[in-house]
Amino acid sequence: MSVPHLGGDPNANLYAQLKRDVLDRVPQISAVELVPDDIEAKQLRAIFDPGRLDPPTGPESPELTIKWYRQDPDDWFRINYTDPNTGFHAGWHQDEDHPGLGQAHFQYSTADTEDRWGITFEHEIPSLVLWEIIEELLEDVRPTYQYANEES
Amino acid sequence: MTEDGSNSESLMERQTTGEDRVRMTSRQLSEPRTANWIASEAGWSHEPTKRVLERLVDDGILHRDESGTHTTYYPDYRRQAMQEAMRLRDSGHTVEELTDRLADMKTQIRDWEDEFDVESPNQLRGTLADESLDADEEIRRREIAREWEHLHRRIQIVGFAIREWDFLTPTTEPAEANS
Repeated sequence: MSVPHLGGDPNANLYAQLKRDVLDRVPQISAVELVPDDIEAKQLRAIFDPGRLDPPTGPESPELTIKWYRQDPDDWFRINYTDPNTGFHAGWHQDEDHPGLGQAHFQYSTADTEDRWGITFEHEIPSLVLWEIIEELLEDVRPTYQYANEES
Repeated sequence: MTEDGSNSESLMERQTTGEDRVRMTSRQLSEPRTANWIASEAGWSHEPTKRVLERLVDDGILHRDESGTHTTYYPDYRRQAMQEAMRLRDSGHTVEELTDRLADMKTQIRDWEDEFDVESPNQLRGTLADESLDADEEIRRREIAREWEHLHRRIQIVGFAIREWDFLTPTTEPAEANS
C-alpha cells in the first residue's frame, strides 16, 4: 500500500491543526466538527453563525466542509461552502475534475447561474491556504456572487 | 488568492500573530525548509521566526538539519501521529467504542476488496484503465481509492490508541498530583 507509515504521515493530525489554526479563530464560525465522527474523521465541518455574516443570511446556518489529503506532489482537497437558505454553493477544489483549469479551481452556483475558473494560492501550507480561502469566501465570494442575479 | 491582492490587513493577520503563523507553517512542511522560506510563507520577519523555530526544535516538534549549505527545519510527524492517538484516548470514547469503529472501518475495506477484486487503493486505480468503465464509475473508483487510503491511515492510528490504551491513560487530576 502506498500509504505512508504511521510515523511519517503528515495527515495524522491535519484536521486538528486546521481546526485550531484556522476555523476556531474565525469569528463568524460558531462550531467545528469532524464527520462522521472524530474516529473516522473523513472531513471537517464548520458551521457559520448566520447573523454574523455580512451580508447576513438565515435562519439556517451555512456550512463549510473541508476534505484534505496531504500527498505528493500536491495535496488533494475540496472545500465547499453551502448556504441552505439561498442554495448558494461555492467550492475551492484541488482535484482531478477540471485539469484544463490548472491545478486548482474555484466554482460557484446559485439557483440560476454557475461558473468556474482556475485559481492559484499565495501560500502552500494547508492552514495558510485555508485562511486565504475563508477570507476570499467572506470578503469577496459571498458579497459578489451569492446574489449576482438578484439586484434589488 | 493572486488576483485582487488588497493591501490592508488580511483576516488571517487580524486573527493570528507572526509566531502563530510560524508555528502553523513549521508543523505542516512537506519538505525541509530554511528559516527564510518559513518566514516568507508566514509573512513574518527573519529574526523572530528563527527564534521561534529554535524553540520548536528544543521542544522536539521540529528537526534541524545543519548538514547542507543552509540550515533547514522539518516537523517530526511521528509526534503528530502520537498526538492524534492521545487525542483519541482523551476524547471520551470507550475502548469498546473505538474497537467497534475499527471493525467497521475494516469491514468497509473488505467490502471494497470483494466488490472490485483488488487488495489495495492503487490496484483499484489500476482498474481505471479498463475501457468499459463509464465516466461516473471512474469517478466513483477514484473517490473510493482516496477514502480507502484515508481509512487505512485512520485504522493505523485508532489501532495504536487501542493497543496502547492503558499506557496512554491520562493523569486525570493533575492538581492533586501536584499537591
